[in-house]
Amino acid sequence: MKKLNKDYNTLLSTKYKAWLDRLESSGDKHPASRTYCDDIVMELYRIQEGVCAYTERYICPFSLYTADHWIDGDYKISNQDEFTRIDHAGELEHFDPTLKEDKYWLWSNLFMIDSTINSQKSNKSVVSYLKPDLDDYVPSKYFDYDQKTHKFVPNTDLQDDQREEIQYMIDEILRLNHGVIKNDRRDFINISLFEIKHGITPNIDRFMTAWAMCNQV
Amino acid sequence: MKVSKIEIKDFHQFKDFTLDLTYPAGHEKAGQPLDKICFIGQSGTGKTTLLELVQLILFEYPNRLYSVSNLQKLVDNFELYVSDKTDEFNIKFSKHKQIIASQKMRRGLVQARFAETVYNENIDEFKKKYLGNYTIYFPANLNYELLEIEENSEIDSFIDFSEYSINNVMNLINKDIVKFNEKELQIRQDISKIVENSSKDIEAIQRELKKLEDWKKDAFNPIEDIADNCLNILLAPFKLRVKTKFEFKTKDDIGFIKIEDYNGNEIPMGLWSTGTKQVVLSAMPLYLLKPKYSFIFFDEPERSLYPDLQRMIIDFYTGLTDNCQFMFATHSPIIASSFDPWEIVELKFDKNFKVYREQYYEGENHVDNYKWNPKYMRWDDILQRVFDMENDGSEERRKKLDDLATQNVKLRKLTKDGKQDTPEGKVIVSKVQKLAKELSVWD
Repeated sequence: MKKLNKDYNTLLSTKYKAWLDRLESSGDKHPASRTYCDDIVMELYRIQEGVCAYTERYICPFSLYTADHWIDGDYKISNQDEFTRIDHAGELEHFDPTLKEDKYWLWSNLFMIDSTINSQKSNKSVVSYLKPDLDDYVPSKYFDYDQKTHKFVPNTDLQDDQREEIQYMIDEILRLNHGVIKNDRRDFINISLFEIKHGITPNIDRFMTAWAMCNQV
Repeated sequence: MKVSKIEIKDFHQFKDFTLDLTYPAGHEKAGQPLDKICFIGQSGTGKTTLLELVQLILFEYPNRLYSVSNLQKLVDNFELYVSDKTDEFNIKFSKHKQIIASQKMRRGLVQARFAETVYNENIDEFKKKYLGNYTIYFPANLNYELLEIEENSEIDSFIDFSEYSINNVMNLINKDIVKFNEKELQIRQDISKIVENSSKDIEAIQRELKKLEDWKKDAFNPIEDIADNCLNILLAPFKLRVKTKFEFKTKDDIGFIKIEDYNGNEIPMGLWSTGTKQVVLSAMPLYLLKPKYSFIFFDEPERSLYPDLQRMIIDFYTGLTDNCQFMFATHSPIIASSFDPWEIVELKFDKNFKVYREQYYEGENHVDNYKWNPKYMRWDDILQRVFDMENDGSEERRKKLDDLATQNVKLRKLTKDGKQDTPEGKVIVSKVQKLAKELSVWD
C-alpha cells in the first residue's frame, strides 16, 4: 500500500474543486448527483497511477487518465477513444465510511480500490494511521514483505498488539494477501526479476511496494 | 447444427443476457458454434436453467422450465440461434406453443422464414435435417434404477434420464448379447451331444470344438466390443472390468452386461458403487446410440467420481459421439480443466443480482487475448482464478502461512544483521522448517 500524494490544489478537475469548496464553506450535505463522479474517479487514478490504493493491483488503463482528458477543468472522454469511462475494475472507496452520509464527495476521504476488495470490505473501517495519503505514512513503517510466500505481514519490529491490529487489516479489510491478488503479485515480481536477470528493465507499473521491499537480485 | 447464441430478455435472474457460443478469432473454427460448453457458477446463477432452456426451445421438451413459466414469458423472452458452416437459424416460441425458425445464410441475408402456419408442415423435416438423431439429457438426478429389461421398447429421439429408464437403452445391447449367448450355448450343446453320443470319435469332437473356436474368432462379440471400446477404460480406476467369459448356470446368466473384479469375482448389479453406475450408465447410452449431429446435456458429470476419473470423462464422453454439441454444468475445477477458456461460461451475479458472463479475455475476443487456460493450470490455480476461491487452502492454512511469512521476514532481518547463528536465529530457523513442512512450502 504505497504512499499517495493527493494534493487538492493541483487537481485538474477545477470545476469539481470549486463545487466542493462551495459545499464545504456552506456546510451543506453533499448531493446525490453524480455530476463529478468521473472527474473524481479519473483524478484518483491519475494520482494512484492506475492501481488499487490498497493492493496496488492494476485496475485502470493508462489512456483513461492522461492529462489530455481534462478540458476547461472537466474530465472528458470521446466516443472514439479505445476505452470507455467504465472500462476499469475499481470502485470508489470512502476511507472513513461515517463521512459517506453527509460528505460523500469529499476529496480527502476518497480512493479507488479493486472492486473485488471493495465487495468484501463493505463498510468496515481501516485504522486511521494506515491512510495512504497521510504525511507521516510510510509503508515500511507498518508492513514487511516476505518474498518466499509473497505475503505482506505487519512490521516484525512493532509491538504485538499493533502487529495483531495490522494483521487483521491485511487479512480482513485491505485484503493485501487475497489469494488471487497474491498470485498476481508473485507472478509479476518473478517475471520482473526474470527480466532483470536477462538484461531487460522491467516496467514496475503495479505492486510497487512489494517490489521495493523485495531483495532484488 | 449447434447452438451459437442464446438471448434472454428478462427472465428471473437473467436480464438483457446474451451468450455468444462461438469460437473466438484466431481459432481454426472461428465464428462456428462451440463443440462443447462448460457452464460454471454459484448455485442459483442459472446453469441448469440454460441447459433446460435449449431443450425447451429446440425440442419443445416440457421440462421444469416449461412447467413454471407461462407461455407468453417464453414467447417474449427467449431466442436461440443455431448454425453450422452454411446455415443459421433464429429460433423462438410462437404464441401457438410452437417454435418459429427463421433461416439466414451466414452472410446475414434472410433466406426463408417458417411462418407459423407453414411451420407445422416443416418442423419435423427441420428437426430431422438439423437436430440430429438422439438428444440426451443426463440430469443431476440421473435415474440409476435398473429394472427387468423390457422387450421391444422404443427409444425416443429425446432422452431425459431423469424420467427415462436406462433399461430402454440397455435393451439395445441386450438383444445382441442374448443372441450371442444363445448361439454360444447352442454350439456348446452340439459339442455335448457329440461327446455323449460318440465319445470315442475324437475327430468329431475336435471338429465341433474347432467350430466353436472359429465362431468365436469370427463372430461379432457385443460384450467384448463394449468392454474394449467403452467400459473397461472407465472401470479400470475401480479395479473392475466387464466380464467377457460366458458361464451358464441359470437363465439370468444370459443377457445383461456383467462386471467382475480383477480376481474374476462377479459384482452383482445391486452392489455396483454409485461411481460405477454413474460412468457405466452415462457412457453406455452414448456408445450404443451413437448420437450424430445432436445435443448432449450433462448436469454435474462429476457426481460420485474420484478426481482421476473426472479428469478423463469429458474427452471420453465427447469421443463416443459424432459431431455433437455437449453442454455441461459443473461445480468441479477438474471437469473445468478439460476445457479451453472460450468453452467456459462462468455465470456471476452483478450488483443488482442479475446474471452476467465473466469475461476471460482482454480487448478483442481472440484466442491470444485470453488471460489463462484451465487446461494448462494447476488445480489450486483453477480454484482461485476460475472458481474465485480466495485462498489456496483452509482458514487454518492461511493463518499458518501468515506465521511462516512473519518468521521468514524475521530471519531475513537477522541474517541482514549477521545474527542468524544466534540462539534467537536458530529458534526461528526451526520454526520455519516446521511450518514449511506442515504447509508443503519449500520454494
